[in-house]
Amino acid sequence: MVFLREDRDEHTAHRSASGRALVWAPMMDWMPTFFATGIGQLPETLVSGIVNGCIYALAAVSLLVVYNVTGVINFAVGDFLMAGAMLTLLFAGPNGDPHRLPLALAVLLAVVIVTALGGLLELLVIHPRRRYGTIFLLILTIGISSVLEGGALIPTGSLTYGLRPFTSGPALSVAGVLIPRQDFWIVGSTLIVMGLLWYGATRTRIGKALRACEVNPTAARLVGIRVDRYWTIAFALGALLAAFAGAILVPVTYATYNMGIPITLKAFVAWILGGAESPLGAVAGGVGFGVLEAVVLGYSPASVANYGDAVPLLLLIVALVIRRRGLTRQMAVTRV
Amino acid sequence: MTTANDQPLALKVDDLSVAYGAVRAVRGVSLSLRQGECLGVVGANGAGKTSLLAGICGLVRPSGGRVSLDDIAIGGLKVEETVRRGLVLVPERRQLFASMSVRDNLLLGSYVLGRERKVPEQLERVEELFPMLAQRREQRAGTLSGGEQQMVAIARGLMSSPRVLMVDEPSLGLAPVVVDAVVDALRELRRQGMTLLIVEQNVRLAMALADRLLVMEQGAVVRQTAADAELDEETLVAAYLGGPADSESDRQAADEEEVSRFV
Repeated sequence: MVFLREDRDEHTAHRSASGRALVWAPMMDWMPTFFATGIGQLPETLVSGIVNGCIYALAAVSLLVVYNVTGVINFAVGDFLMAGAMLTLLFAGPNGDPHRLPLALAVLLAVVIVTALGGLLELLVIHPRRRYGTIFLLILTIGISSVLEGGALIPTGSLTYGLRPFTSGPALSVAGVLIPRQDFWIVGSTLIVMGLLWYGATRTRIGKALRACEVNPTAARLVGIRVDRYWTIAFALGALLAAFAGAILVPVTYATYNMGIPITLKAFVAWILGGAESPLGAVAGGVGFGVLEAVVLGYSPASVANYGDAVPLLLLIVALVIRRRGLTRQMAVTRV
Repeated sequence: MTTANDQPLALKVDDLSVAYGAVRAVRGVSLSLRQGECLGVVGANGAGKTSLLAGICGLVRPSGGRVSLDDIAIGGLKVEETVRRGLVLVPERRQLFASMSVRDNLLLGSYVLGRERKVPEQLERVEELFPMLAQRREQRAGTLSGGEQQMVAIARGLMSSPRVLMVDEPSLGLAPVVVDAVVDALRELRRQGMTLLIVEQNVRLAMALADRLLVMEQGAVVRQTAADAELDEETLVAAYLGGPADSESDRQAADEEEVSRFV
């Protein structure tokens, strides 16, 4: 997959042209310029936080779906996201390579493949050991994470890759705030995916059965739901959400083989902040964390901001100490 | 009371055992149930009644014995599969999907029917049996009263139109007036020809419903009433104490106290 390694210079040029960078990427050359911004940049910072928050929200909901149905904390969520990003890059080609697939098809293909991968890994790795207990299964997902990371390292090397935005053109001005076009894609498609998820969970047979497994696994078996199969479905759905997040994210960040773990960590924080029980909570936690992170990093001196990845860890500790039940208590669903 | 001796067997259990590790909860129980018949299983707490049902339907893997439904062996199948074959358990303590609506609970009851057209028909049927369900469609099942929850549990069990319905402790934790409503519904079901296996600690209730009674003690069937016996107090006492119903009355008196433990 040598073809992934092209256009690095052009990509970098695209980054600086967009004039905004994401706070979660590993410490990179854009950091000093970003933090040179003053309070006048607050609206942009907030928008940036919301956009990142959408990605965290998707990843947090992915964690939530898997956890609620199976009780497994899927540490590989960030790596499924990475896989979605890398495969989208592979199929679409960086920066408009005409020999590649159309963008929509590339995203679809990437998401389908990662979804299948999620289901398959559950079947092959988790399923045979699902009686071993949560801690064992958590460690298994850490293993899956490492394998996915290693699997991505071999073809991509330790290089970084970028993709053109889904629609090209200058940033759009909304009430004087310049918003890159990809941001609209990210926020809009996140809303659509969440809407579809809500519809699926409340209106379809398979969605109701998935929730039944979550609410009362014994009762689910008693009405004939093959709960084991829904473990696979939950992992596949979790992988789908993460892969989709990766696909819409890749135009605004660098994709690297090891981008997954920081995202897993942030998704985990978002999930806990949101109360770890309802999808709405996870979304609120994701967006809330995104904004918080953007503001904290955006207004810290570079010497502090360089420790950017410590922010979610600190927040996690604070969240777990202060609000063990999460922020959305009233939405909490009783687990029977 | 009509017996159903000429009907084919719906459920046959042979020498069924259920063990949890070293604890043998059910020891070689055999029973059979004809179509349209209502069999009551009574016994004290811990006699193995619930484990018997769990073993029959595959919620727990039996350690031995055979189960067949309509002459097809289903022993060793998991509960997800036996439900598909028409054996449905309404579990002890109801096990509803508490955070979901009554309607969703019922629809999940018909999960094994897939997208069949029968589903709305079944909904109508159970709402006719329990009119309260129609009024509470959108209410969360967990917020219903105990009696209403029991009705939802039975209705959910009926949604897949089972061949045999097993009901575990339908009266558990319910106020007497509510118990009556549940019993009336079960009676109506029996009248409609549903084959029922009812486990009850409350012997009077079981007697009011069942054609026959089995008495369990320490995991085994220790007594049962004859298929054609009238289920009155005397038969019951006989069932508990053994011997014909007209056995010496002084012995009965001596042991009646024992019986009243269950009654």
